[in-house]
Amino acid sequence: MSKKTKKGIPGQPRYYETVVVIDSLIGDDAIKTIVEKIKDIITQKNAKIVKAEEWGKKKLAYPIKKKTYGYYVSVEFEGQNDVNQALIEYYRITESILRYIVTLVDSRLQKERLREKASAREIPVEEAAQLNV
Amino acid sequence: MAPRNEKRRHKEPRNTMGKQRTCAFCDEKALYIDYRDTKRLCKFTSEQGRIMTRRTSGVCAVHQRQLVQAIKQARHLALMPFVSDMTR
Repeated sequence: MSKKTKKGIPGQPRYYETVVVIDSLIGDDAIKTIVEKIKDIITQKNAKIVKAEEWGKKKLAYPIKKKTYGYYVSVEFEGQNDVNQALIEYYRITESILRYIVTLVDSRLQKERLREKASAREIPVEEAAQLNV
Repeated sequence: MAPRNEKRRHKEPRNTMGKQRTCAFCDEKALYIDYRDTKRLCKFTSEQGRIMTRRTSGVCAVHQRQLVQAIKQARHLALMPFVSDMTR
């Protein structure tokens, strides 16, 4: 019996978000390969990429490994638990990834973002949901 | 002339708090506090980068729990400082 819990319906794909801080000194090509590799891992595990953003080069609030700048990338995806295990494994191996985070984005955040989108375009929330799909 | 006690009874209750404080997140009916919104989160930290208490910020218990988690996640990603210098 499937029971709806706080974190969603069991067995159903979940909505995750991952943010990675890459060392900006390794060059544009190397950064690109890392980003593509992350997307590859997600798609290989039959997960669906919903949104991929590159925030670009940013100054870090504090130096990490004696580096003051980092390249921020965020990917939102829908999939099962095995995806983020594979992701974290890859993040650990790669030295040029300074920091990473994989978080479960619950339905509340999705609603919040829909509401923001709806208010920006001045349309009702239901229409914004259709736009997202 | 009315006795002292009677005068006091008719007085309206004094507001000892000065100003009624309300939770900033409750006011806008926030469902989720985003860790990427550092401009917003910075308002709930001190000059040194420490998280403000509920007593000072007036945030409700539910949102304070979410806020603390968001600030800690932002710190981990180096979006916000753990400690910032006073002399900047």
